[in-house]
Order: sequence, then C-alpha cells, then structure tokens
Amino acid sequence: MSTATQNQNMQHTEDPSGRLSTASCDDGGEVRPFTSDPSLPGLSFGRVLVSEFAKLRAMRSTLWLSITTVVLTGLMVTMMLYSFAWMLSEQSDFIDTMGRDAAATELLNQNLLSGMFFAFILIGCIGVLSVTSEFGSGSIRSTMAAVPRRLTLVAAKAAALSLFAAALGLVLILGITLAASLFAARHDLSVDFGDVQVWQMLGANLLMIVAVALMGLGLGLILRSSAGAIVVLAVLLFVAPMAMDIITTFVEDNPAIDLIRNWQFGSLLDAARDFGEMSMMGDSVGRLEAGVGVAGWLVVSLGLGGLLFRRRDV
Amino acid sequence: MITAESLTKNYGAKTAVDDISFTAAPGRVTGFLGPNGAGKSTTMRMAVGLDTPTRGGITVNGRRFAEHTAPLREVGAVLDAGATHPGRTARGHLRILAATHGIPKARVDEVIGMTGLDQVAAKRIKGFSLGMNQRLGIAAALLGDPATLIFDEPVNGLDPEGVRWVRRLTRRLADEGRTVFLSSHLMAEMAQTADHVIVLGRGRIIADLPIQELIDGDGEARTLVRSEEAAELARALSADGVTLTSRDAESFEVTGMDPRAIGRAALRAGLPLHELTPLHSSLEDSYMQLTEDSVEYRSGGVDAVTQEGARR
Repeated sequence: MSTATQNQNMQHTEDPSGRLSTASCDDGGEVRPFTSDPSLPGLSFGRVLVSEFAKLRAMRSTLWLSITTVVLTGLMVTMMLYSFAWMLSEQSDFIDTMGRDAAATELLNQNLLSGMFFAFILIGCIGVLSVTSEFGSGSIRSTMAAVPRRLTLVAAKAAALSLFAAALGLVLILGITLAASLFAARHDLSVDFGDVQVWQMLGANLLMIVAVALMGLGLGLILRSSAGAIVVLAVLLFVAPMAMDIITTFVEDNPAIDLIRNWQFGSLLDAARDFGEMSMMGDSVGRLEAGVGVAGWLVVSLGLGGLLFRRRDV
Repeated sequence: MITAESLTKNYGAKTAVDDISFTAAPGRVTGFLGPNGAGKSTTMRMAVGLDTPTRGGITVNGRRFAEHTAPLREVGAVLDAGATHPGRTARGHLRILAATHGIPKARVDEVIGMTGLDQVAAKRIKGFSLGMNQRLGIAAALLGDPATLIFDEPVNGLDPEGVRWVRRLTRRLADEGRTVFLSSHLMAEMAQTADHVIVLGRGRIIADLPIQELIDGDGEARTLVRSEEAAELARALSADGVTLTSRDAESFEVTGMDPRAIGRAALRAGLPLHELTPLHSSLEDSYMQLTEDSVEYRSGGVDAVTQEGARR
C-alpha cells in the first residue's frame, strides 16, 4: 500500500508538465499533421526479393545445411564411382554392349541419380526453414509489418528460395559432372557434351532440386512448424516410396497401388531426371509426365500454403 | 491517424474486441489503456493487418494498412519485443526490413544511433535483454520515418532511463505532428505520456477522453477536514447535499461543499480548523472505477487491498 501512495505522489509532482503539453496540443491545434514523403521509394516485388534473399543467406541453418549437402553428395558420388570401378573391372563387356558414348552418359546419369539422394531432403529442409524459422522466432510479424501484402511476400520467398536452390544445385551438378568426367577419362571414356540429352539431363536435375526446395516451402507454409514439415517431407521423399515398394512385393498388379507408387512425389522426382538405358524403375512414368506430375504436386502444396498464409492470423 | 469503425474480432466463441469505434488523431499521444486481456494488442494487430477483423475495419492514414504503397513509411509498429530472428544481428535485422522499401543503409545506422544500440548493433539478437529488444523494435518502427506509430507496451522491460527515453521520444514524435498510439496497463505511465486516452475493458471502449478529464473525472471533489472539535464542526457543516464521512476522532471528509465554504462555516461556528485539504482523485482511482467491472483476471486478495488503497 505504501508503494501505491508513493506512486501517486510521484505522479502528482510530475503532472504539471504533462498538463501543459496536453493543453497546447488539444486546444492550440498548431501542430501540423506529419505526412510521409511520397517521392521516396515504396514496396516492390524486387525489393522484397532482395530482402528475402538476404534473409536466406543470413540464416546459419542455411549455411550448415548447404555444407552438409555438398559433403554428403561428395560421399555418395565417391561410393558410386567405386562401385563403377568394380563393375568395369569385373564386367569388361559392359562398355562393348552399351557403346562407349552411352556408357559414359549412363555413368553420369547414375552418379546424378544416386549422388542427389541426401541433397534432396537437405535442400527441402532449407525450403521448410526459410518460412518456419520466421514463424518459430516470431520474426514473421516484423516481416509482415513491413510487407503486409501476403501473396507478394510468398512469391518473393519462393523466388529467393528458387535462386538459392538453383545456385546450390549448380555447384552440386557441376561437381558431380566434373567427378564423373574425370573418372570416365581414366577408363578411356568421355561424356559427349555435344549431345543434347546430356544437357537435358543436367537441366532436369537442376529443376528437381528447385522443385524439392519449393515443396519444402509449401509444406512449411501449410504446417508452420519446422519439425512437422520436415517429417512430412521425409515421408514424401523416403518413407512413402519405400513403403510402396514393400507393398508392391506383396500385392502385384493392383492398378490403384501402381498409380500411387508411380505418382507419389518421391518417385516422380527420380523419374523426371532418369535418362538411363537401364532404368531400375521398370514401368514407371515417362520423364515429361513425371515433370508435369512434380509441377502438380508443387501447385497443390504452394497453392494451399499460399491460400492458408493469406487467410490466417499471424 | 488511426480510425476504427465497428471493429470486432472473435476467436472462436470468445469476443476479443467487441464493436469498437475510435480515432487516434495526429499531433498527440493517444493512450490505449486497459487490463490484461482487454483487447488492446488484438486491436493493434488488426491495425497492421496481422489479424483480420471479424467485422468492421481499421484504417491507418485513411487506408487499410496493406493498401499503402509504402507501409513502413506510413506506420511503424512495435507489437512484441520478440519479433526478430535470434540468429541475426541487430543491424542485419534492420537492413533486411529496410531493403523491402529501398531504405538506405545510412538510415539504418541513424535509427541504431537514435535508439542507443550502437554498441550491440553487430551482435546477434540471441543475447539481447528484453530492454534491448524493445529498443530494437522501436528502431525498426522508426526506419521508415512514418506518420503513425503504434507501440504495444513499449516500456516493458526497460530500465528507468529507458522509460524516460520512451516518454520523451513519444512526446517528440507527437509534437512533430505524428500519430502516436501507445498501449499500457500501467496508469501512472499513461498519466505522464498520453494526451488523450481510450480505456478498453473486455473488448469494449469504457472511456475515450482527454487524460485530464480522466484524472479530474470522478465526480465530486472531496475535502479533508481536521479539527479537535470534529464532532461539533461536523454538526455545523450538516446541510442538504453535503456528505460527511468520518475518518478518525479528529478528521472527516466532506463532499458537496468547497473548502472556502467550509472555512467560513468554521469561522461562523467559532471552531478551530487544523487542516483543510482538497483531495484529488488519482488517475489510478479513476481507472480502477472505470474498469472495476471489466477486469478479466481478478486476483482476490491483492485486488481488494489495491482498491482499498486507491480509495484513500
């Protein structure tokens, strides 16, 4: 009670100054309303994109995930090349039956397919964290106090993430291509870069890396939780394809199960970039169809994510 | 200028903000006062588009916040001190926000200086105290040199120097002709900062008036009278419309009669007078009376004590 009295006393001693200013403001009206300078730059997609890209780069998680991606991809490619070396020494007729050019292309193709095994989930995680880290930390509220147009914000996030994923993907693909070419040269093979198919193969791999990052973003927007979105991503990439493979060993020739098996996200991601002569997937979907399928998955996840992001309170 | 019209927000079955209309005018500090859970933060969040109103609307400088071409230059808001990414540096956080509006890096350093964050600008936000976070929030709000500022409980976690700084800053911003909309549940703070006050309780506006009216507001003036002949004097003062409340053997309170009249009556009756004190009710008294029925989380014992203290 004594503190309450003290507070009141303090209030009374400091009151007069407050009263004076109150009077001047309420009665005088001499204060001209402040208006912001309309000639100064405002919000634009380009500026938000710059901001989002800076955000992505400033995140520690992005840095560590990127480094881990490069290291794990390096390990996968090294393993792949060892198994090729073994195959070439044991099955010397491999090159003769395939033809030298096809064998070199196949070598690159297999390295890209397998090398990217961990890269996909890690780059997907970068996509997830690019939005869930903002929800987790609360910084999304600062962001939206600057950029209240929510769909512009989602579009800028997607564009910044695509650029980042493409840059990281380029590093991976160039690295794998270089490793595979050097390996091939030691076995008197050379990848034919005059072949359009080789470039298509590299391009398809790059596109799928961007796709998996965007899938992560979509899941992050829908679930708003890092853990939740990463678990769903892991299910889509690893668990579901494995589960469907197991199921098909028990249930053969079931059209519904084959449909799910072939059109699930993880399978499409591989089918869209498989340029091999000796495809392991058997009766899987064609490359172009798979690409369209991946685009469909992205439309659903980003569309739903964007819609929810626009409607929900933050 | 902030204008709310029939603004309503429901969270499921609970009505957080219930059909409120008000204006926060430029050139003055408008205080937004109310107990915890009264709907202050929800109203402010709707002003910057974080929450969507269930009904009605709220505009800032004549438009919905999201419709402005340069939102940061119209409204600077500090809604909660933790709205930052802990891994970023203070300067990094501000630069990222500035980039969205093409605000130059020099302005970022300027607001860092204005908020006294120079020493920690290169440090990661993770290690910041609540007070430093508040300063960073205010720095972000000032980035765009906006016409309207919205501060939700800005003095939370600040040390006395910081509290004084916020008080002066809000005063200066209002004097420059900006709209300053400031929430608090501390009445004493409001008395020193706000020119005008909107009192909210359970999502409804209880009062919307100049701060001085709120302080003066509680009806009749009381006078404390002390005399060794208290009983005699009380009898002499008895009249229609005069209420006498006994305090102790030598003193009592009078309402319905001003101190001059009491003094003259005492002289006529020839009774000694030791004290004659006009009693001002504090802002706290007025506020307690206003919100008495609309406190959401009442704490039995402590509350009873406070009200007793407030009545004295």
